Amino acid sequence: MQLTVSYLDQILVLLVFTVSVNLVMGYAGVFNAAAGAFGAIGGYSLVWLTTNHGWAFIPAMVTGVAVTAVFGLLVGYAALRLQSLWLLLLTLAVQLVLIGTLGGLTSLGGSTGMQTSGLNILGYQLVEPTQVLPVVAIGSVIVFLLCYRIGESPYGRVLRGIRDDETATRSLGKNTFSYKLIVFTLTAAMAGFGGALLSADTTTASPSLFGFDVSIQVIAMVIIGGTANMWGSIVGVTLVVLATPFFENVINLSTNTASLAQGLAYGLALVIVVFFRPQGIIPEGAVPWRWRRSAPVPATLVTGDGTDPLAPAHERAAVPAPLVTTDRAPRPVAAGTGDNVLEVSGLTKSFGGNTAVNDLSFDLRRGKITALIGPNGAGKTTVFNLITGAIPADAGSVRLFGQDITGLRPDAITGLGMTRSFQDVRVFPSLTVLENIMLGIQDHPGDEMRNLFARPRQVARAERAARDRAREWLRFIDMEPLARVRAGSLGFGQQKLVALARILATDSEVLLLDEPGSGIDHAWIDQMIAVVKQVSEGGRTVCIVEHNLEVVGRLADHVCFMELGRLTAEGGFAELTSDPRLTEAYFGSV
Amino acid sequence: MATAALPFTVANLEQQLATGLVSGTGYALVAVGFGLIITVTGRFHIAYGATYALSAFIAGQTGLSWGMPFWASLVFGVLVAVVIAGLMESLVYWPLNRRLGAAALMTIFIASLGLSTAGSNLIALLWNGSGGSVNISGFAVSTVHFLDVFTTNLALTSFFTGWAALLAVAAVIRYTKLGRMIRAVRVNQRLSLAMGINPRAVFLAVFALGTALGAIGAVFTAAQSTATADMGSTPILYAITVSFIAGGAAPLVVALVAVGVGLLESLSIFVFQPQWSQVVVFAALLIYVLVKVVRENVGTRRTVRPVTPASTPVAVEGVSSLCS
Repeated sequence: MQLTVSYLDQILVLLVFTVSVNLVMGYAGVFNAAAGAFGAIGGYSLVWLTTNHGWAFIPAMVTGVAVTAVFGLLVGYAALRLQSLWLLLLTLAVQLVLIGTLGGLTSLGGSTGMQTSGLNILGYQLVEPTQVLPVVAIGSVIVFLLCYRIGESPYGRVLRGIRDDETATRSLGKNTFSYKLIVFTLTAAMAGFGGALLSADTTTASPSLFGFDVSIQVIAMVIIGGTANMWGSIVGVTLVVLATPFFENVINLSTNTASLAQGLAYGLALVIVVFFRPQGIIPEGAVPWRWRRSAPVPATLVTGDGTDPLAPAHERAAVPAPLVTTDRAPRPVAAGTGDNVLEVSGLTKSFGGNTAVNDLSFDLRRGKITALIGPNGAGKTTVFNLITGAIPADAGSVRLFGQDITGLRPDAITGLGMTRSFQDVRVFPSLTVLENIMLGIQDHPGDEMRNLFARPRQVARAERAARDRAREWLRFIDMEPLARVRAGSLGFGQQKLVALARILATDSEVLLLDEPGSGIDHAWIDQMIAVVKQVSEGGRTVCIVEHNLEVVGRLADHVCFMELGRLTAEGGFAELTSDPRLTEAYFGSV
Repeated sequence: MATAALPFTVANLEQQLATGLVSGTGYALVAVGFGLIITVTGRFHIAYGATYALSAFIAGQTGLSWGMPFWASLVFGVLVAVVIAGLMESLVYWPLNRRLGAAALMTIFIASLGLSTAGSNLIALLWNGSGGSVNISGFAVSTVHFLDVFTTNLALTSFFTGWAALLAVAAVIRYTKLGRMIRAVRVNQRLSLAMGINPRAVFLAVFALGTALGAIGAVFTAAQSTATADMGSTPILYAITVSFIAGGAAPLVVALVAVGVGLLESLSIFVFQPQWSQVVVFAALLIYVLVKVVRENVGTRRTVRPVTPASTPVAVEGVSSLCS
């Protein structure tokens, strides 16, 4: 009985580690190899404060968790600016240095660690596994619910967006670094809490208890169970922990051999899962009682009016949906700027010796469609990157509604009313079409973690409203029947429309569309043009970078011609295309 | 914590330098091998530690069971490790990479983590009967004394063999057709394919060379102590440290950085107790990564400037001066 309860304790304690690592790794895509080290801070703090300083259990645990949170904040602040491989390396180094340091300090018991006895909570003894069980059960349930609430909320949707494509998420007005830092710090604190529970369960705090092997084991549990799925974490922990008693009692191996067999089994399971079921046993979005949330792309879908939404618009008889109106009043433009919503002055950017954008100046007028055209390498996409803050300019300024936005972060610029799309689409492939568009909706109270717990009703109301609004945008692009399909499984033309609807959902008044017509067939181009025209007629300002001159001719009110980073001509489409020099510059001499 | 374990004398310095050079050579073999694999193939092959341990066990077992001489055992251990590494690349990494493309890096790392865990536990299971360890026999060890340094002929042999292997691999990469193919694939895999180079064959050759280097180091390390299933854990972490600090440099540069790590570990005993030697090495990695963070962010960080009203004289002046 005691042994059975001991395994249950172990499952519950490791569940704390696993769900916290799942939140940061599975949802946010931040690979953290230092879970063991964070646990060590919590565990050592508990044992050291209770044993050496006579602290009570709860203050010692709270202190340990707080210290871990501060440590996690410092590590995260440095680590989260790095690419995934370097992030892995930094957390690995933190794990090794911290555990090595704890193992080297004789005052903390050196390599054998510290022992404790007589732990109690307000007189309730924590000696036998049965006594520890209620404490670890309450602790793990609390952490599970916290992680579940965050992961399956609008906040979790942003984290999943960051994991799928951080650049695209930032372009939708989300401060991705802040999201990652908050979740990294929180999950570090949770690991600290897990470490304290582990020390309470084992009555020790030692380097081996929190070593690199533990971090690997936790990662394995997350991946085997299912990333970005908290139920999967329960399955992963249970399978890995119970493998040892299975080998011991069912296969009749000795304790030592069973432990080795467990390591062999979960190592192989990791490889098999990565190979044959990369989403884990319970995939993202699934719950044990409802296996699939996201629908596959249907072969054909018939809507209420008898049309197939998978077919391009010209093959359907569907009446175009009315334009979704924005609740926001048009932003006032500062005095002296006329009707110009965006003013670019002297913008310059060099990469090494190559000047990609050279002293470029142009304006965007309210409600008009402006096209930036030019041969390959003219610097058109670089202009978008510069004015949206994706890369810093060497010189020049950008004013949006008369306000200087030069040097602002992309998310801040989106917040001020200008959003971009990308040439390579950048939908969030593992999110559904509906979720992709919901990510574009601004000022969602659920985007702030504190509101998830302090204002749950407000968040729920806002979530319903966001869902309804996203559906309106889906109707606008005529793709509502595909709302629950994962965006990654759509065709390229459909992905382009989803990406367009996503930036429309931001309610930004200025839209920068990078090659909306590239890579899609003629039928989808017609639909794209209809949508963009309708958006412009609704009062929004649009700037497109486009190589397809047919699209430019049908859409643009004003055309800017770029060559080698400079603006060399501007005017109407017909005017520019009748200029032999520009034609030659664009198409080359024949 | 900061109490030195060894007083600083010339004799002690000579001894520690010699120890650091020998251990550094072992780290150099692993670091160059691991570094070659990660820089050419892009595989974060952490299961390198498992093939490292396997080679030592195979060498020990062949000596023990079949009475093979030391050098033959070494060659056999190396060959088995090379075959296993080749199977990992062929059956796991390559298919994953083909399926996932650019997104394969972390997935391959996770798969490698699984192979590493499974591999070391399998070795421990297979040799469970002998207490999970094997001794390597067949080398008549004797003490060697020069200057104020006491060492063994085995340590000296490992030093010279290690450097011979390192120089041989460096020469292969620098002067042979295979080396040119390796360098071409490393720079641009697609273009190499267009030039008629088969990247898959090159990857296998790189896995063979990289694994062989580590395996040589493993057999000598085990011969000086004993082979254990987790004997690859620390070397692989050192290899990761060296590979990233060396930043994809030429093999001999990587080897010299690894020797530096060996010397750092060895000489740290003049400042710290022995249990801190590994922490010193990993702290060097931590500091290196933190410096990288600072360097990358100081130059490119953009501050969120307060939004200024339109057409203020200062702003207009700023634009004018930039445009002029």
